[in-house]
Amino acid sequence: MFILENILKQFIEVPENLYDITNQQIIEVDDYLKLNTSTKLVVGYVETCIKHPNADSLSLTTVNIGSEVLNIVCGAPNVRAGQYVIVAQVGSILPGNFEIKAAMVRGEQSNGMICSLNELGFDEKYIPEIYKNGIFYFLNEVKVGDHALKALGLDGNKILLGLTPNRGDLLSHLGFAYDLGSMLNKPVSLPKTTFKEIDKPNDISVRIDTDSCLLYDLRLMDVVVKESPWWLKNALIESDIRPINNVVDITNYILITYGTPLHAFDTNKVQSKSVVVRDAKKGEKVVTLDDIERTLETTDIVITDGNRPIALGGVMGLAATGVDETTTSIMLEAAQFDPQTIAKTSKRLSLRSDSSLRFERGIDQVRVHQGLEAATELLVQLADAKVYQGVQSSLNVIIENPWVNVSLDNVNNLLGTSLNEKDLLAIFKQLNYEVKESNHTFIVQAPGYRKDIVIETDVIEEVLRVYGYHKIEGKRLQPKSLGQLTYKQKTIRSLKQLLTGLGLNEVINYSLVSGNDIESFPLIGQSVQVLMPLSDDRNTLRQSLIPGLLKNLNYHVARQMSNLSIFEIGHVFAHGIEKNHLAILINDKYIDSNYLNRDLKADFFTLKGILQNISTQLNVALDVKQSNRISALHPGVQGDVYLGNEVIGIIGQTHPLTNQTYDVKDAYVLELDLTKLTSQQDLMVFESISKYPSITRDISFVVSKTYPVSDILALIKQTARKLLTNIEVFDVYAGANIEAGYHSLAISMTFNNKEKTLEKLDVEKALKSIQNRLEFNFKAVFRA
Amino acid sequence: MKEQIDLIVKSLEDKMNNELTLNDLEALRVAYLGKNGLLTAQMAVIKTLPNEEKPKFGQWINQAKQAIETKIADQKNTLLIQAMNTQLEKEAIDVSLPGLNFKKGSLHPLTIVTQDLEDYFIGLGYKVAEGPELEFDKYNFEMMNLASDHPAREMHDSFYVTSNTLLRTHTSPIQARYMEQAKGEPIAIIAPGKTYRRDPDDRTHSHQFMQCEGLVIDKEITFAHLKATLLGMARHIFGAERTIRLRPSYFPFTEPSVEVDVSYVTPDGKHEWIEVLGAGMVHPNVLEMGGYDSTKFSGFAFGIGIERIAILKYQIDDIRQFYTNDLRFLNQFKGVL
Repeated sequence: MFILENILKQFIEVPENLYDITNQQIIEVDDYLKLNTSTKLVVGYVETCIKHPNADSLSLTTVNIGSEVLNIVCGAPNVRAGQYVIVAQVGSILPGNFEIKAAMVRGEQSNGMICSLNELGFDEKYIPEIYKNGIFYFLNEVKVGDHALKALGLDGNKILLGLTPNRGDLLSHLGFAYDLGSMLNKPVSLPKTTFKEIDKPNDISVRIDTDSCLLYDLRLMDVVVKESPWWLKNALIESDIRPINNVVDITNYILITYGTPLHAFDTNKVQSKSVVVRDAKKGEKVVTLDDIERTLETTDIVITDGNRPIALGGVMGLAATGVDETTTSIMLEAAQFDPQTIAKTSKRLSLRSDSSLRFERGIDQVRVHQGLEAATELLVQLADAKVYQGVQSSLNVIIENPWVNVSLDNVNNLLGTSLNEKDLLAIFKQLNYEVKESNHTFIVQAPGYRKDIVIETDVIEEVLRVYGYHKIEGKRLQPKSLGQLTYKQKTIRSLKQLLTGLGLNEVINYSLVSGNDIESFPLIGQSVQVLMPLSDDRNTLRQSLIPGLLKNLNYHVARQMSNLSIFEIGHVFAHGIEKNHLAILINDKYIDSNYLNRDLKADFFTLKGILQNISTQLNVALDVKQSNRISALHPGVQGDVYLGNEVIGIIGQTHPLTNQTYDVKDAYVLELDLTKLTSQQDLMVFESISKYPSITRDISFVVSKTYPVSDILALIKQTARKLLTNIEVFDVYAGANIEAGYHSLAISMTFNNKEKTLEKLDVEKALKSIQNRLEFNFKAVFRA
Repeated sequence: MKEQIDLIVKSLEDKMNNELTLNDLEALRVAYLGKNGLLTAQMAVIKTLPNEEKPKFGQWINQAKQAIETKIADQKNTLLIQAMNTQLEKEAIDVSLPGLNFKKGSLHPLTIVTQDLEDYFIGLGYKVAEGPELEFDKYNFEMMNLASDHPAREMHDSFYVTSNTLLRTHTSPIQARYMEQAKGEPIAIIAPGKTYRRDPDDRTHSHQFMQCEGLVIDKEITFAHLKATLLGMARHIFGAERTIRLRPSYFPFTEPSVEVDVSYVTPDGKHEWIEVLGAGMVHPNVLEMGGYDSTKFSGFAFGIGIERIAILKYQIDDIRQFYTNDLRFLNQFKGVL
C-alpha cells in the first residue's frame, strides 16, 4: 500500500518526519520516495512560436513563466503558441540526473526546455497518444508560474507500507491518517460533500438475500465518461493502478483514499429496476471483468438484477455490465461483505482484487456510506454526474467492535511500566477508544476501523505503541534454570571438532533433492515428496547425505579443486522417519605434500582411519564388514559399519557408474546414522598404567584371502585375552612366492600383565595357542 | 734414561703434521703405545733398574704416555670436528621453503554463528532445544496461533508433503513442542535449526535457511525483560557499542510484537539502523495451547536468522554462498571467530 502525501493532507496535517513516525510507530516502511524527482519545473505559456531560421525541425519560442519570459528552442513537432506547457528552467534536474543548461542551439539562445512526459519520467504505457511524439501541454487552464509537478498531482513523497495482515485499517489514506493522528495526538478531518441531487428519484430497489452481505448501498446517476484529469491519473499510477476512465478511476481513487471498495454498473446494460444480493448457485457460470469464465459455488456471493448475476460480490464486476466509453448512466454500489466468505471465494478462484483484499481484512461499516458520498462528489466534479435522489440502502447486520476489559495491573505487568489510570485514559483517548470504567478496570471499544483489537493484549500492544518502545527501561533477566548442552549436542560438537581437526571442511547442503538422487544410495524408508516443489531437482527429501557431497565434489572438480575432504551432519527423511546422519567424502589427495613427496592419498583406508578416529572419539567400537548392498558403491570396496550387531552405516568407494552420473572420479564416502552414537554412553573410567614391562612379539603366516582380517584379529584377541594390550597388522603381502588367492600377514602383538612381571613362558604359551587356533580355524600356514 | 724417553716423545712430535689422516694417527698411536710400541718397549727397562729408581722411571713413562695420547687424540678430535662440520654444511636446508601442507578443516559459518549464540545463551541459563524439520501443521501453525484460515499463513508459503505435514517454516514449532513437554514448568530455551519456505533462491532468498528461536516463560516476565535480553544479544553478536531500536510488527504468536533494529555506523560516520530480528511477548493463546495459564504466566520469544547474522557480521554478499559450499568460501572461516 502506497500512502501519497498529497492525498493524505486532505485528512491530516502531514508532519515533517512522516517517515520516522510511520516506521517507528505505525508500520514498517518498505520505501519512501518522491513522486517525481524533477526540480524547478514551472507552468509556462507559449506566447510566440516560429520556425528556427537555421533548422527546419526546430522552433523558436518565447515562454512566459510568470516571473519572466524565456527564449526556448524546442524540437517537438507539436509545440504551438497558446499552449500551457511544463518548463524546465536552467538548473532543473530531470529524472536520470539530466541537468538543463543554457545553450546556443544553431545560433539561437535557449534558456530552458519545454518537457515531454517521457522526459519527466512517465512510463511509456501511461502516455496518451497525443503526447507520444512531442511535448506535454495542459488541456485545462492552469496558472502560469505555478509549480508544475503540483499541477500534475506529482508533488511530495509517497511511502510504501510493509503491511502486516492485522492492519487492514492501513489499506487506505484515511485509515492511515487516523493512526497517524493517534500517534501524534492530532485531529483528522473528513472533507464535507457539497453536491446537490437532481429532482428525480433513485428508483432502483435493493434487497439482500444472504447472510454474507452485511450492508448494501446504491446510488443512481447520469454521467459523462471521459479521461480523468492528471492529478487523478497520477494518484492511481503512483499506487500501481492503471487509469481507465473518469468513472472507474474515481471508484479506484475512493478505494485507496477511503478504503471503500466501490463498483459502478452501466445502468443501461443492467436493464433492471432491482438489485438482489444472494448466494451463488452451485455451478453458476459468470464472466468476470478480466474476461475469464468462472464456475461458482454456493459459498460465493453474486449481485444480481433480480435474476442473472451482474457482479461477483466483493471480488470483481462482470464483463457484461461494466462501464465503458459508451456508458451514460451508472448504478454505484458501496457494500460490505463477510470477510471469511470473500477470502474463501478469492482463494478458491485465485482471484485477488484490491476490493477483495479490503473486504477480507474487514472494512469499517461507516466507510461504506462515506466512500459512496465522496465518490459521488467527485463524479459530479469530474464526470458531470446528475445524481438521482437518495441512496438505496439495505442494512443486514450492524457490525460493532467488541468491548474489551483492560486492567491497569495487566498493562504494567506485561510491559514492565508504571503507568497510572490517568496515563492510560489519555492513551485510550488518543486511540479514539470508547471507554467505560468500573472498579479500576476499563472496558474499551476500538473504533470501527480497527478490526484487530479484540482481546486485552491487543489493547496493551496499542498502549505500548503510543507510549513509545524507547521509553521502556530494559530489565536484566536471569532464568532460574541451568544452561547446558545435552549429551547429544555435546557429542555432535565433539564430532565436528574432531573432523575439522582432521582437516575436513563442514558443508551444509539442501534437504530437498531430486528423486534420482535417492535411488542407488542407502535408503532409510519410503521416500517423501513435497506436494508443490519449486523445481524437479528439489522435489524429494534426502534419505542420504552422500548425493549432496558428490554434488559438492562435482562443483569443485569442475573448478580444478579435486583435493576435497568434506563432511556434513544433517537430517535425512523418509515416511515417518527423521534421523540425524553424518557423512564424509574424501577425494584425490587427503594431504597434498607438493615438493615434499609424501602425499597422503584419499583412499579407502584413509577414510577408514577417520572412521577409527570417530570410534575413539565417541568411545564406541565400530566394526566394518565386507558388503555389496549399495549399488552406488564399488561392490568390492564397500563395507557395512556395525555398532554391536546393528548396521549403522556404510563406507566405500564410489561405483564407476556413480562417477559417471556425478561427473567425478573415484571418491570415498562414509555415512553414519548418529541416533545411537549420540545417545548417552557410560562414563569413561580411567585404567591404571602397568608398572611392569611389556613384551612384543611378531607372527607371520600365509592365509586365504577369503577370511576377513578382522575375523583373524578377533580370534587372536579372543585367544590371548587379558594379556594382549595392543595388536597391529604391520604387513600384508600378496604376489611373488604366494599362491593366488592367498596373502601373507605379519602381525605385531604387545603383551603385558598388570599384576606382575610377565613371564616369557606365558607369552610363548599364548603365541602357541594363537598359532594353533589360526592353523585350525583359518588354515593359516606359519613359516617354519 | 729420562733423555731416552724424551727422545721418543720428541720423535713423535717430529712425525706429527697437519697432513696426517685418522688412520695415520691411529698407526702412530700403535707405533708408540701399542703392545710393541716404542714407549711400551721402554717398560722392559724397568725390570733392570734398582728398586729405588723404579717409581721415578715409571712416572716418566706415564707422563710420556699421557703426552703422546693427548697429542694424537687432540689431532684426531680436530679432524673429527672438521669432518662433522663438513657433513653439517652438506645437510643445510632452506628453512624458508613451505612446510607440510596439513589440511585445516573448517566449521561452516552457520555452525559458527549457531554455536556462538548457543554459548552466549547457555551462559545466561538457557537450554538448547531441538525438533523435527518435517513438522505437523499443528506445531508449525496451529499451536503458534495460526489457524488454518489465518491470513498470516500467506507469509509462510510452505512446502507441504501431506495435507498436515510440512517442512517447518520457522523454528517456532520447537517452542510448541517444548511447552507441551514442560508441563507448565518455567522455560528458558533457544532453538536453532533449519527452516524452509517456498521462495525461489536468489541473492537474498533461500528456500532453506536457518533460524534461532528464543523462548522464556515464567511468572512476571515483562516486555522490559525482553528488551534487555535483545540488547544483550545484539551487543554480544555485533559489538558492545551497539544499541537497539524496537518498532511495531505483527506475528500471530506474539503480542506485542516488535521488529528489532541494531545500530551501526556507516563508513562516512552516519548512524544508521538495520533490521535484524523479530520478537514479542508470547500471545496468550499460544500460552494456553501450550498448557500455561495465561493469567499467571507470561513470556517472551524472539527469532533471528542465522544467515542474517553471518551476512551482517562477515559482510557476505549472497545468501546462496552458504549452500554452495565453495572451499574458497568455507576456508575463510578460520581462527577465532
